[in-house]
Amino acid sequence: MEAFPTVLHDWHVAAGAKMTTFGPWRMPLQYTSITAEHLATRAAAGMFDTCHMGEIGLAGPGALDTLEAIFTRHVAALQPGRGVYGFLTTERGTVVDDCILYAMPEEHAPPLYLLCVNAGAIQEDYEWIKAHAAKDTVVEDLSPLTGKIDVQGPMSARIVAELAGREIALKRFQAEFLELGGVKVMLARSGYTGEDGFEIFTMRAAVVALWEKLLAAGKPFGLVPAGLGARDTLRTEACLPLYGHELSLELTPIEAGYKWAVSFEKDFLGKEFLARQAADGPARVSMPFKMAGRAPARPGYAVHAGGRPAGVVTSGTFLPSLGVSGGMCMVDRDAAVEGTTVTIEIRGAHHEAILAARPLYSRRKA
Amino acid sequence: MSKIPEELRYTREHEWVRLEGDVATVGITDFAQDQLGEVIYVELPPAGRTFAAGATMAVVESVKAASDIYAPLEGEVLENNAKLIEEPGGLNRSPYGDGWLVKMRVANPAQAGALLTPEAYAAIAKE
Repeated sequence: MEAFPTVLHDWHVAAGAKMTTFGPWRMPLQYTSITAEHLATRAAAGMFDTCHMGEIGLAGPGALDTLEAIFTRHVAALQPGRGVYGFLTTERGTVVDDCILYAMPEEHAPPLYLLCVNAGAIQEDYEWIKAHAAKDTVVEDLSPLTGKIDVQGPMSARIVAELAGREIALKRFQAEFLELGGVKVMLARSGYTGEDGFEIFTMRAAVVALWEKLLAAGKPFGLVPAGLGARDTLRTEACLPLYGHELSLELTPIEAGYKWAVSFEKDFLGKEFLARQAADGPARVSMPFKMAGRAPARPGYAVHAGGRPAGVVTSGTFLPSLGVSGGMCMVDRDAAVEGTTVTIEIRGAHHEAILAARPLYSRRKA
Repeated sequence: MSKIPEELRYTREHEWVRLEGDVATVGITDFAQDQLGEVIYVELPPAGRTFAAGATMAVVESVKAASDIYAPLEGEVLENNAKLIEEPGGLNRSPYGDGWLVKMRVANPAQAGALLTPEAYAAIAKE
């Protein structure tokens, strides 16, 4: 299969990145080492090429109705310049995609709403939204025009302020338009690493210049480019779900532990099922785990509790900030008890793991 | 360029073999450790286990994935690298030294003739 480069592909290769294939994309796995990039993001800041992710714009008088009917969050309550994390769900409450929905900052012309979606789901999401669109809704896949860079870590606000020439007043999940080093961007205070940070949307043609400006401005603060490897270990430690692992067309937000990102005060596709599941309690739930020994448990490995099969690992790797292996598993509700020991079958041998509270890692609040 | 010592023999699966009499020391190459990235776990067979050539003998796990290691020759494990089990990062630092995996008694040392020369391996160890 042909793999698509992002607009930063040549930059990554020139920087000596090890490249990998992620869905249809050719992406940097690491520049130096996954652990070093992970720890630098936690200690200072890491910068990620997220141009592969999708941006779908919704405009027109029907945009709000469309989103209310298919997105799990209360969209009417979303003020301009704010974003929320939520799900596009099927009638059975399972997940088409997890996304961040932004109501565009006031001064901006259409689109009214921007949905930032997973790289592997752009086409499916676009078609899903089109198929469920209310009258007078314009749905446009802006991904080919748009680039995105994530700057994540405790130093990220200072780095972005340096390029903006002013303090950044945005709170978490707020967004504004501004210029960073002369490049027009939509700056959103969000991300997927468990750290403070920003997702920076800009025109595709401006991405390489912005990347280099951010890197130059960020160097004195300890900013390093970081690859998909660190992105995965960072989000796993923070127990943030990844589509295809903790979320899928077979799994619901309730099972993933994301009841808080579902609004039951409004109607949407899948609400009835999810409301019932939330009331009854789901048969299986996502639980973080830490391995007792060194061996990492990988996605797909079987989890046993009390000598019986009880679930499956959905994400598992070495967790650099914790210094142990761990991840998340989907286990039967009866077995999902924090602090209990389960076993995970690794190449035929049972290895002990402890079910833990979520998240496995949380940053110290400043 | 990754290092490919002259005195060793190699496999297509990126293992190296140092044969002394009928005892083979086995590890993975500099190229292989670089491709894997940081090694966080190694699972090595205990002394006494026997393997056919090409059988899965050990597992090396980096942050991103698990990789099977195959027996380059038929034989019986004499010793595994217990220090490496305790400190798997040694494999990245010294793939041909402290990072060795197992020593095995080779059933038929003449089989080693089928292993790759450094020149032949160098042609494979390219991206």
